[in-house]
Amino acid sequence: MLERLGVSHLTGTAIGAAVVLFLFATGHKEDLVIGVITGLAYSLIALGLVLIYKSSGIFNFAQAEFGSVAVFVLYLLRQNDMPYVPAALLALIAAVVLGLVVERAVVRPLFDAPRVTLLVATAGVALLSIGVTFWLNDAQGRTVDPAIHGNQALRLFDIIISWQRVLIVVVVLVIGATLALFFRRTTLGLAVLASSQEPTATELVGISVKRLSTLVWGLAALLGGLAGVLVGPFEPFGPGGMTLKLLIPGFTAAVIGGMGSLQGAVLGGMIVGVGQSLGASGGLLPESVPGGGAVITFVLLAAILAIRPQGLLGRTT
Amino acid sequence: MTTIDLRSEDPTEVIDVPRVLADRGWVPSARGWLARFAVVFAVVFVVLGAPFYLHTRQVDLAAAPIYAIIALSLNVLIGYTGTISLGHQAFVGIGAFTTAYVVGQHHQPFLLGIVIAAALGGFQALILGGLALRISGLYFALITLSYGVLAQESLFNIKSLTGGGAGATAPMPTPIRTYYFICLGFLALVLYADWRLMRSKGGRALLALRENPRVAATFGINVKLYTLVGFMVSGVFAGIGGALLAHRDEVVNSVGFDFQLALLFVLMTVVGGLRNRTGIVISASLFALLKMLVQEVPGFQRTLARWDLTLPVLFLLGGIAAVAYGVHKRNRIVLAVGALAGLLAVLVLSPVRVPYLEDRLAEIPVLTPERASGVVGPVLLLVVLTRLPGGIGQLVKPIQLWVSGRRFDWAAGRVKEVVITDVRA
Repeated sequence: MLERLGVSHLTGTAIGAAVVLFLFATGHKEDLVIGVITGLAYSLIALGLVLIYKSSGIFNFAQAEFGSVAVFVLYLLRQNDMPYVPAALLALIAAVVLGLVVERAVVRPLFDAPRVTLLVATAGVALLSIGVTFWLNDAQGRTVDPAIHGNQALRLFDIIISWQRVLIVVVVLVIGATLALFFRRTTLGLAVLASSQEPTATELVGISVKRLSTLVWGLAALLGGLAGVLVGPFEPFGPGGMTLKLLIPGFTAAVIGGMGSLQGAVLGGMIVGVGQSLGASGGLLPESVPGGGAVITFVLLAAILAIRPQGLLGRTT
Repeated sequence: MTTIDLRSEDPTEVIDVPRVLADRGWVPSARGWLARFAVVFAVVFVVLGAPFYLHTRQVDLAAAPIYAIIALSLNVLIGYTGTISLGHQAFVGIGAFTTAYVVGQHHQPFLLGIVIAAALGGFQALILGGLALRISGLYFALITLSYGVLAQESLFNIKSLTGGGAGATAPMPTPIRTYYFICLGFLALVLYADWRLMRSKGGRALLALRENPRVAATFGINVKLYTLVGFMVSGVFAGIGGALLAHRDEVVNSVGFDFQLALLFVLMTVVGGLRNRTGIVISASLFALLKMLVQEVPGFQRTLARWDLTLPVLFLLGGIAAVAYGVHKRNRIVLAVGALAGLLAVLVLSPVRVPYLEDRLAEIPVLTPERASGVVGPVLLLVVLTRLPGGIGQLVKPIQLWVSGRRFDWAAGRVKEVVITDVRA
């Protein structure tokens, strides 16, 4: 294990540890803890993005919109007094159905098109979904209740963490581990990797690349839906709420991690989360400049792409 | 007969080859010319006469040339240099806030505001272009997206420059009817600049480096320089468009420059057909006037209000089409789904009451103009990307060639796929 970690990984870990210690010492520990947890929600979006990028090289701009649809369906069902668990399950199913429809109606016809064209197409899907939710729901902000009520769940270093946040941490860790096992240990996972590297050769071995694409889009939509259902309760949401809130941080997280690395996506999410909560709470920027979170995200993205385009955990090919 | 002179001074010179060899020497008859003249006259009448026969909604009308300018600006980036910009609301917004600062806060003349807005727009595009030299393709799209959000949340909220959340004011310099013609004038200027650019050495260099920067570099094209030129031209156009937009709205607010606006600009450009000026102008005008069209066309709004009738009729038609397709292609799934949809529609339309479904249908909100524009645009985009890669430009091209004195040819201007950039992504 150790010999696989190069010098750069050790340096990276050291820098990370130093930053964490510094923030702790200067009294930013609330930003740190809340940032990490918010960042894990970004990771959920980032995992979906990485999944699709790994299998077909597409930047999926509709990823966060799967979350918007799930949270919207959850809201509608809860309005009609359905118990939480079946409502959440139906919401996730709605997200998955949307993912499959997108794959069939938009991605398949453009299978051989340039990737940038597909990027525009998925952005179009997001815009359409926002348009439809606006039509059915107007721009008004709605609220949806969390999976677990109660504000005081854990006290970590004198910081109160709600149950919903604890749930996010658990879900991301479980999903991260499951996906890692899926890609390392199962034949299906290997087939997905194979189809991304050599689609033609994969077809020749007798694996249907198109079916794998369906599978991956379904999985990614499920992740997006989960992110929506988990993050939705924190703030009132309007049409496209998740796209505005999660898409750009999610992409930044995935790029920081290296766009092809699942662990990188989780790590990147935490970095973006901490950076944003530091930027928003002030201290990093002068008072007269608002929107610290967006500035930090942009700087992180530009810096990573300019200095280390393969990401923190990505491999150069 | 043209010969290739290898000692030609200009290495990117295009050799002029007649487009349709068979049509050489074909000239339309007198009646043909008359028909063509009538069409041109009608178009000129519709465009120039619009403020006179449409007495209401002239503010909406002025949006058409402004949006066209913005779409042409984006076309320089996506169509010519092959880099996608998802943060174009920042380009436009910088123009808008600049003119609000110069004209609104410091009471300088309107034209000076536009000139400074154009210059600043070009300058910020140049900086972003510097980044594009290092980062390209999909990753650059992310950078622009993040840049747009940064501009909206941070730059446009700096209180001393933009008035913060309350927004800045930019008074309209003339009555709205005159302002429409001013906007048309600027559109003509931008169209001319774009046309001259594409006919120059720089324009051809841009096209070459979009298709393959490495090959272009081996032919001696300065890739970095021309990428930056492309960005600057786009920024200048967007600055002009933004300034005109600010003076039309009279109040500029950071809330208006969100991510969805950037996507709308991309949508207008791609639906219009990349690298096709006519198509882009038409499509931008269409999106600008969409709300107005929905309201003005009689009967349209009433249809969209009665979803309990409209939707089943749509389902019935779709079902019939699906059944026909299923029988023709022997596809059982399509046939079954089509039959099911048709049956459902008939049940709902019939006097028999379907318990749950009919109540839900009655609850679907009216598709107001605001709501319609959010749904129609993306559908058009997806149709263009998957079925009609040339966009509106492809549809208009045969008419355009016909007007310019050629034979009518349906196949003219057909495009195989929406190519933005291949190699660098």
